[in-house]
Amino acid sequence: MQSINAQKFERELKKGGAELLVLSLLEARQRHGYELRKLIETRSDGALKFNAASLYLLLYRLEKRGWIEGRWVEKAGERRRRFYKLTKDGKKALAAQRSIWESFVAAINRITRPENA
Amino acid sequence: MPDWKPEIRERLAGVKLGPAREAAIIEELAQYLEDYYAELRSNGAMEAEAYQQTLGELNGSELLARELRREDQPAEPIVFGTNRRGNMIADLWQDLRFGARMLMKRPGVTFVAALATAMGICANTTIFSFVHSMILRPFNFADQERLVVVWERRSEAGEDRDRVATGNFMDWREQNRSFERLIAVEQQYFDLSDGDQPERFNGHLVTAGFFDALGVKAAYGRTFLPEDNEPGHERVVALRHGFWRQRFAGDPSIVGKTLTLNGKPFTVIGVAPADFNYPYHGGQLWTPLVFDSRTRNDRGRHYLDVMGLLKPGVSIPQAQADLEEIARGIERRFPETNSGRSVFVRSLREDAVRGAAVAAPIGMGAAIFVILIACANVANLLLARAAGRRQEIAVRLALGASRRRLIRQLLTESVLLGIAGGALGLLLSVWAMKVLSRGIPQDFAQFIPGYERFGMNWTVFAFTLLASVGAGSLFGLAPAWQAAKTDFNDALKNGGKGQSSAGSVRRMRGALVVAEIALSLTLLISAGLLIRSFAETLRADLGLRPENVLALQVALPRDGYQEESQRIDFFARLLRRVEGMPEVVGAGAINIVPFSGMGMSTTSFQIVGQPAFPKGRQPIIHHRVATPGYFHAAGMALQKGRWFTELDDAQAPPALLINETAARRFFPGRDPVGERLKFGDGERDTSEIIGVVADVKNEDLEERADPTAYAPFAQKPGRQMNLILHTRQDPTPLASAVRSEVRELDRGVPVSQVKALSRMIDERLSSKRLLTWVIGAFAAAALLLAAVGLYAVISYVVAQRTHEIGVRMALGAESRDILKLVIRQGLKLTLIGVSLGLTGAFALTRAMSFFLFGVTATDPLTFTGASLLLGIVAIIACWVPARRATKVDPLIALRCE
Repeated sequence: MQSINAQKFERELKKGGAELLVLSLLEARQRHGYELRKLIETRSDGALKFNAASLYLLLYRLEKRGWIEGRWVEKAGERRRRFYKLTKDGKKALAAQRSIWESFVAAINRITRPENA
Repeated sequence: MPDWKPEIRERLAGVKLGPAREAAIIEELAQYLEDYYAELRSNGAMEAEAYQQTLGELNGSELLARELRREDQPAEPIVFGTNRRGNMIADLWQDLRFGARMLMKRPGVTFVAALATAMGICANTTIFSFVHSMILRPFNFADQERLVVVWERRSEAGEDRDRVATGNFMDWREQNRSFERLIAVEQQYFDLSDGDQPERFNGHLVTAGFFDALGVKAAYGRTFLPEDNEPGHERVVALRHGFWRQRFAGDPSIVGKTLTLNGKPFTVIGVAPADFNYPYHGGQLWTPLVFDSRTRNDRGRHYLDVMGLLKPGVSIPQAQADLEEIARGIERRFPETNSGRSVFVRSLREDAVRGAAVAAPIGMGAAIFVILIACANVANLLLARAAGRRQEIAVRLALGASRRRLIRQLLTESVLLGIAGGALGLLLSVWAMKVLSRGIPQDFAQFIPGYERFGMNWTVFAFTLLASVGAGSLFGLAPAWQAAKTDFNDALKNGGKGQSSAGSVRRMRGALVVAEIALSLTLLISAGLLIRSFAETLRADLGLRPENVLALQVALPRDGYQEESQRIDFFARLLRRVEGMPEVVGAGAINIVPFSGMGMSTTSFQIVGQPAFPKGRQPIIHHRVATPGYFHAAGMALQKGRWFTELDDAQAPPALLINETAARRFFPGRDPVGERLKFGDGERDTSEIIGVVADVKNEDLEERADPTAYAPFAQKPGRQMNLILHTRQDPTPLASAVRSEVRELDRGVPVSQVKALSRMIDERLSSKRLLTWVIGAFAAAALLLAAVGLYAVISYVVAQRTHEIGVRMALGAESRDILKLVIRQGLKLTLIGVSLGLTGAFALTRAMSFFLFGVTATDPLTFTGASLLLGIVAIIACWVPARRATKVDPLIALRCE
């Protein structure tokens, strides 16, 4: 079991949590901004919400970091849209964040689970 | 469907992206908003409701704008809403106000930091003023860069600065092509009589164009005209400003009046400006120097000081070459007098500042050390404070302040602190300059060019301002750099007690303290060397006993006492009278008083019975004339032979006493008593050595004694002698009684140069004492600053380790262990500092060897003593916080985490 650097996790919790969501959603395929927003909202049953300003803040930051890459895609009969896809670095970052997240959740669960269960 | 682009554009205004990038971003966001709006509408929202909700998507777009701005314009400071230029000034103003507020928030730290800065600034301002007045601008003559002095050079004798003979000067003046003006100056005494006993003053005779060459206009009346220097012209005199104020109560109507000088009438034509004091020989007046047909061809007597104003565009080497050629011509025509004589042209400024220029680098170096130590100290305090401000800084970072902006803010703050310290330092240095300018007696100071202008002026003020800003930026660097590294999550989380950067702060502060200790040790050693050297100087064997000895100059007027017997008789009667005074133990007279700065009289000679020395290679001996009583009154010791007696008179064979140095140099391994020295071809120009006396130093206490010969006054009676009175008590009050004795003998004889011998020696020592004091004060300041620095760092460490100490004590550590633990940490820094400082001192103190007397630049005693002193101070500085650490209550210490 990988030990958790709790401090680091805590620091990354808010920021990293959002990053983890976006990276996970881009793992399977490339998506555009609004699609990401919709997916986060629906898959969390409305518990997690991003508005445009904060979503794009995150996207541009991840893009600058080289974890995702955005490009304009034109499809016949549609206006052009900017799609984002995961880069190689992004995949590595996703793997790392995911593992930290899972350890964290497991740890939390172990502690928060009723002891007599 | 609403158009979202203007809304987006408005919110991203000021980001200043490239047009393509901006369009793309706006397009992307607009699409998103359109999708959202469309979805809301299709879910049944009203238009207005959907519109409002969609706009809500842009909430927080400031952060987005910031992100974009950082991405695209890395150099741009982060400022919202306004254009950049306006912001620079607004920011500066904001920084200044904020800085002042932050400084006032911790008045204690601010005060200590300002005080440390003030010490450094005071040291530098004072030394700079010294350098400025005495080295950079010792004169304020109009054409300072074209002014030179010309000496006769005798390379073989190793003499560069011999005075000039009249005949040579006349040839230079007539034949040169390099000078606009060439001026000769002769120093002379003037007896000023107005009915009562005459007073004697030093003055200068100057050839035509003296004042014009220096660009000096009279304060009252006029300066000399060319015709004033013509033979037979009415005698005129110009007065020095200070002399005119003291002697004539500053009465402007003196111009046009007649003064009796040396028994002849002189018309006062003008008063020189207040700051004019050239040449620096303590002259009180100037009169024209007129050559008659006899003096203008004299090449044997060297008594003129020559200065010149170069033609525009002529360099010093050109002038040197020009005069050298003339000198070679003179040498060919007059080999008797001029063989081996050349010229030496030198800038007036360089020639005048020789003495000060040697001391200046030491003072400047020491002052720079002090300010570096002060900066290290303040940086240290600021680092400690910055640690306390990490939370504030983190909050500001989190709220969007850029690190660049923060660094600027912190630097503004430290520069503000530097200026506050500078202002305080300026006040301190005004005071220090006052104290220092009293450190050199007035009589002596008038020989130092520029001394009277030592003090505060605009140049010095500008320097202070510059130094303050420089110091502020310097000591602000470390804390600003540290702050820039602040990790805000860490800082916020730990409530300001960040862990990750604490180590690097501690290392930085440790390094600063090590630097402080090293620099202060170097200063301490320098001061120690100077103090030891000064003590050695005081202990030096002068060859005479200066306590309770008074010297007075008595000069017989030129128009009387033509016969030698008259002079002998006058001084014999005068000496009998003063010897009869109850306070007087012994009395004598000599023509040149040691340490008086009266100059010297040297002569060449041959030793009878030895092969003659070739022309130009004859040995030189200092020549003095004294009465038998002089040696007893001055407390000199006889090494061999006998003293002069009353029997060595005009009829007796010429006798001579020589000093030990002369005996050693000219009669090595032989007894000089009975040998004879030949000074000329006359019958009475050969004298027999009757004894050897102890060496007496001539001008400086540190120099070796020169070979010196004493002839009995009765055989070489001059007009001007100095009474030397050995008294029972302080001799100064005796002066007026001696004056009236002289007046009773002849009311036309002036008494001047009245001074105790101990005072003359004191004046000789004054510049060295001043340097010792200054460096000593710097070293004391450095020691204090280093102690404060060490104390602050150890206190900080103790505060940081309170928890750990608590744990140790809870686990059974004794106070002694804690004390050891803390002090060991301080001593580690001290030891590193001391070893660096010792290395630095070894390298640097060599530069001071010129000033050291009786102690080497690497004197082990001084090096050890200074290191020990610093060590003891360091232990005390560590002991106080260490002691506090032992008082830690383990429970409280543990709880406070």
